[in-house]
Amino acid sequence: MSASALTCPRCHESLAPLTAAELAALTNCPRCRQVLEITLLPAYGRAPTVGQVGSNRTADDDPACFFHASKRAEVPCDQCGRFLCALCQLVVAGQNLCPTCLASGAGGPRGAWEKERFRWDLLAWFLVLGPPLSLCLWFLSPLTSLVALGIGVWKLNSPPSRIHRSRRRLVVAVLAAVVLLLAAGGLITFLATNRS
Amino acid sequence: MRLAEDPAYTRLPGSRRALMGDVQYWLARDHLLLVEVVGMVEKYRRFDLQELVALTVRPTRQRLWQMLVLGLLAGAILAFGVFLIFLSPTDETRLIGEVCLGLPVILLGAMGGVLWVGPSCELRLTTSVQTLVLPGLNRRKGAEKFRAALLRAVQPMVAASSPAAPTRVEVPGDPPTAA
Repeated sequence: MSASALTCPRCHESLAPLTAAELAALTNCPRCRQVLEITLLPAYGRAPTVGQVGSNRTADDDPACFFHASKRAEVPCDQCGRFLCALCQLVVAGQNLCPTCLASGAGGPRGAWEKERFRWDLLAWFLVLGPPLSLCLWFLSPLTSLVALGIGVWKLNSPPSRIHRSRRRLVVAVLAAVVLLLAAGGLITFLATNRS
Repeated sequence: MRLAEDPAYTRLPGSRRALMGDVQYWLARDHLLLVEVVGMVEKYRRFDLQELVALTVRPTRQRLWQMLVLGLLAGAILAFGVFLIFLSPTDETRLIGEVCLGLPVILLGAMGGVLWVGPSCELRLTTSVQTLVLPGLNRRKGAEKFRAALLRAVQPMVAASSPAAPTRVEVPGDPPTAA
């Protein structure tokens, strides 16, 4: 499986028939002559890990899986304690978890299986800077700054970015929103005073 | 905790920084973590080092096209500027023509930048279950640095893997070992 996954990026010809030594020395695709440079890594030539399906219960006093009553329980979930068969046992970051706990992200080191985080700081900055920079939507700036201010206060304790100082950026966006709101308020007051 | 402050992670070369599209690669003891900011969402993709099958580098023509577009644009602006200077009857249009003569210098600078970053390529990571074009690694220099760093991490695993695999993978920049 793993070796057959190797194909030419251009013509998609499978490179599986080639041996490891031939692949390592390969400079062109044998079919389309596309220049290639392949580096083999640990899983090359090794069959992928196959999951288990779990064994059936043979006696009435065998512990049953919480999700599959006919399957024999092997381990309890480290989070909720439910009995799990080999099929339901999910090993994540050294913990045995059931599918429910994995889906909810309950317990365990946060980030071990997290797929994405919303960047509230980027949204706040977009709301603060977007309307003034768009030129034609500048009049929406007080409204969007107010929304950015609300988002900043509401989401200040949300999980931050793992690569940027998003919390600091969110605070600065809130300050910028306050400055913009004060400026808009001052401008409106000035115009109202002059008109009267 | 930010990955930069996490001792379990080491940053790999080949990261790309853009206004709203950052890409960073981080290496842990047992997995490679790709962090990509798409729009306003930060996405994480983990690749178990034990499940990596191959890295494939393929040269692309991206640099050629970039040079061609920039060169044609510079040439067109230059020709327009010359046309305005020598064939226009008024001073105002001549002034516009002189400005047009200055713009190609900026484009030539951009062409120099494209030349400086080196040849373009595409780096594909094949795992047991998928093949992924690694984002942000579309220059040969960056791709080579990334590949070398990743190979250093998986070197012990390669040595311990199946006999079909090579016993040693040549890492660019490493001193040659005696046979």
